[in-house]
Amino acid sequence: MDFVIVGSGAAGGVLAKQLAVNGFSVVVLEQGPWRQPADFHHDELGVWLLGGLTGSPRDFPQTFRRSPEETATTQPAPGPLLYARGVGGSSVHFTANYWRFHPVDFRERTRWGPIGGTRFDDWPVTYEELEPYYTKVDWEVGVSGTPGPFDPPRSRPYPVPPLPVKSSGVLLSRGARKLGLHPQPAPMAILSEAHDGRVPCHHCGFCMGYGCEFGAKSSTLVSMIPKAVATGRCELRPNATVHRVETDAKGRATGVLYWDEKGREQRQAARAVVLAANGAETARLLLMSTSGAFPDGLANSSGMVGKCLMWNGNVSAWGTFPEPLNEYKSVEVTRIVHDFYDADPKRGFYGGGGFDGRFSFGPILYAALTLPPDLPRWGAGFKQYLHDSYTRTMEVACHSTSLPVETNSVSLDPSLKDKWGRPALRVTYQDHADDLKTMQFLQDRALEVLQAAGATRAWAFPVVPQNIGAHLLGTCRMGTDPAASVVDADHRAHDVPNLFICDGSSFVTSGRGQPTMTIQALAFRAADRITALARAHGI
Amino acid sequence: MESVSSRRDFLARIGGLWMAANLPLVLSLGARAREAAARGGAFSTFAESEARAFEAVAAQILPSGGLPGAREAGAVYFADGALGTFFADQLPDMRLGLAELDQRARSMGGAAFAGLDDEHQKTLLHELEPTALFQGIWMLTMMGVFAEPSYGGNREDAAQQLLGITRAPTYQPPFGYYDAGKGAED
Repeated sequence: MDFVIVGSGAAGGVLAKQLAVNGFSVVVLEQGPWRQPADFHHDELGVWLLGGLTGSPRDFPQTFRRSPEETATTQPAPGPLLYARGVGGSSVHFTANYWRFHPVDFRERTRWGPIGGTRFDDWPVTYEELEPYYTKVDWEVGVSGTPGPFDPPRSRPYPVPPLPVKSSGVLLSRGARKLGLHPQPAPMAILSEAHDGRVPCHHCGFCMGYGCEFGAKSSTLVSMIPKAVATGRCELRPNATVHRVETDAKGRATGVLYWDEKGREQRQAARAVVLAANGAETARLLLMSTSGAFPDGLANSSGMVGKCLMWNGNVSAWGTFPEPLNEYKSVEVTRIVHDFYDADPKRGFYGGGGFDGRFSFGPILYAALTLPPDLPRWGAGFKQYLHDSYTRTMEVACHSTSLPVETNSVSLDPSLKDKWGRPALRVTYQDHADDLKTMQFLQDRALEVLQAAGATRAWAFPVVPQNIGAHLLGTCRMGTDPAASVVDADHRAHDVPNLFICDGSSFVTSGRGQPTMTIQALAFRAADRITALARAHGI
Repeated sequence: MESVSSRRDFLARIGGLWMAANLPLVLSLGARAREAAARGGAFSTFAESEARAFEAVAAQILPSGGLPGAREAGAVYFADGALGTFFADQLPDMRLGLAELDQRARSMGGAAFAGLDDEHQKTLLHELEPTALFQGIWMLTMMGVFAEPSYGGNREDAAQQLLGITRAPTYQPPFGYYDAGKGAED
């Protein structure tokens, strides 16, 4: 076997397809089941509150703390790390916002200088190097869109046009334009037209958190995995939970150990190991793979495995309007605003981001989490408000930078175990002060946009430190210095020549939210780099 | 902001227990609710007095009249199934809370909560609002009215009528008032 790939999500699916197409034999080990599009349902309770795609916290507990001095405890709420288990990984349940990074995202340390208390750094790759791979994502994964005024240069148009605008997009545009901003159609990994043998969006309204029963959402489950398997060189094993990367006396990876669906331990040998299990699971697997040669975890001589976790900032504002928007229909997002993407020293802090018009939740979480704070919570007035507002409300969701703070991390909980006996994922997280200021800045702008758009009422909740994240970034950061990073620009572990790590963990800085586009561009590029190394007998 | 904060904390507090469900149990809920209905409304988990108290509180949260409320949606049947399965960890607290509520009602108006008149029920609920019991019933009511009918509640298209939405597997643009017509964004 040439490659064993751990994880079949946004990165793993791309790597599996590319390496198999390039002629290598590949085994993909996925801890979750292999669902088909027909297995996905419109079920807010089952998906959002019963963990239908993410798994039960009873089986897979996690702990959380704000600082290393605290003892981490379980959070009864979902998370702190949100990700889907199953073939296609979190690309199955993501919202499908597909922003490219801008050139500045890769060079911010050079532009702004060091920031105290962080490992703010440049990337060892540039936008120009990644651009052809962003274009591959557009065309091979399937992205709908059209260029906007702040977009970076692109070598090819989008394969299909933007999705039809929703009322939230129209109102976001109206409000933004009144304020002199420049709204643009949202790039989405959801097909607006038939493409590559797949059908377009049917506007059912169940995207964020859900799997797409039409296969119109461009998860790797429908875009990459079928092509990987069709090569005849890629075997995908679902319900296979990897718990150790094995190494030999020379310090080379020899394969992995995993539990199959019946709980039996299996070994898969390979010439090289590729970890694409997400920014939490990849880090845990490395930290669990200790040995005499790697006492602090595999590929961890820098001590950076699990460190510098970045979630992106996430805050929102809501508004109600006189006429029905009917935001329960169609995709989550159709218009975005990127005027505040770049950091601006005049703001007095580092950070930037964008916002979009949307309506996140179904009625249960809408009622529980988003209603105006001064609203009566029961009685005839409450009931009438639900009736009047559910179809007339929209949200402006803000997405922003998270600085790489070393103490923000994924580590092994010292006492709690999951159902397999693996140490539970322990998260330590406290947003950097500049990240919180950026979130507040964007939320203030979002409220202004809603008011300018004619909202009869607009509101938001106080910006507070986050305790849940779906963007799992930075925990095996890429860099040229083996003492300060885990992988090099080829995604090869500095410490282990035939171990490659490619997923959100590779990020050096966070971008402005919406990381999956860049995760997949990196994966396409990594597949090319790994192929070149393998063909040159360099692995 | 305090009420929002506590609402969110509550969701966080019991969210994990909800998440701890396993799907076979969830899938069995609709069948259990149908069986309960076939037995003439007998409950699987609740004692009759508990069901009456729960339903009376739920019917104050989303009252009957005009649009469907918690009673018409059968929220109590959802709760009965949920507390017997994936929310079973919440059942002891719920039982205790409902018994205390009835006791408090008797001391106030001489009857169990469900037997109080509307004014006395409202007075008691204002007292109850900050408590975990109220918040628990509140969330179960939202779920019982808005979750898929297969979980035992949301009967007779209650959610669709209450929220003013259609229920179709797919839609086509225009979706709402503001995106209808050419030049909507201008």
